[in-house]
Amino acid sequence: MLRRGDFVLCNFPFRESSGPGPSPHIALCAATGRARDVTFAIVFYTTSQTDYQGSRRPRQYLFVNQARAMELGQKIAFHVDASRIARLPLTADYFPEMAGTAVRARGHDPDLVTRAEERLMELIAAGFEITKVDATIRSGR
Amino acid sequence: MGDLAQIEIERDVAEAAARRAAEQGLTVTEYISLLLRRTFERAPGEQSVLVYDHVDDGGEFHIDREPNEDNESYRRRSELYGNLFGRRG
Repeated sequence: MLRRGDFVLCNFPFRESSGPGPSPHIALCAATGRARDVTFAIVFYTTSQTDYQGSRRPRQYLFVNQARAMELGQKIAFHVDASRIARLPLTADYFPEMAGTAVRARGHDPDLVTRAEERLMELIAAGFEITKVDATIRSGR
Repeated sequence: MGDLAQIEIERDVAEAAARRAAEQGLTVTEYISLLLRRTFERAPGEQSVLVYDHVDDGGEFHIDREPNEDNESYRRRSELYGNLFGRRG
């Protein structure tokens, strides 16, 4: 079963299209849960785009250096993006390494989830607009 | 990835993209397409939290409590995710 703090492969969706994203990407699991008869995971997006324009790192990014990244099963440094978060059904469509109810974890860091949640709350408090990308409404289900 | 189109970009950019793509196990086409799609998700200067919700729950859901998690921590997390993914106006 997926756990809070697991790094997993995820077909993280896009704003402009419905359904799973076209290719797998590492995401950080923040929570699991249940709605009606659906089990789901809440995941933060991660990105290896660690260079950015300007002199300051955008505050939505939590930087993980290469040494720590390798401890977490990654090859290179990355950011956890506290401003991109998804609630996704726990299915192989969204989590391609899912087998039964288990999802292969590449690494595990629950403290990083806590930091990402704190950063997310800071962003909201600072006036970042919450933009819902609601595939269930758009698809008419 | 759908239909493909051909564009020209500066050589050093293409080479850097090829290196990054290889590090992530992607083709250059996949890498550049994903990078641009993510960039297009926000307008320039837009400061937003993008909340992607692919679960149709009718507004009722709960998150799982962590082993040995205290009530305050669970309440805080439930409130955060309830605000993000809860019933829509």
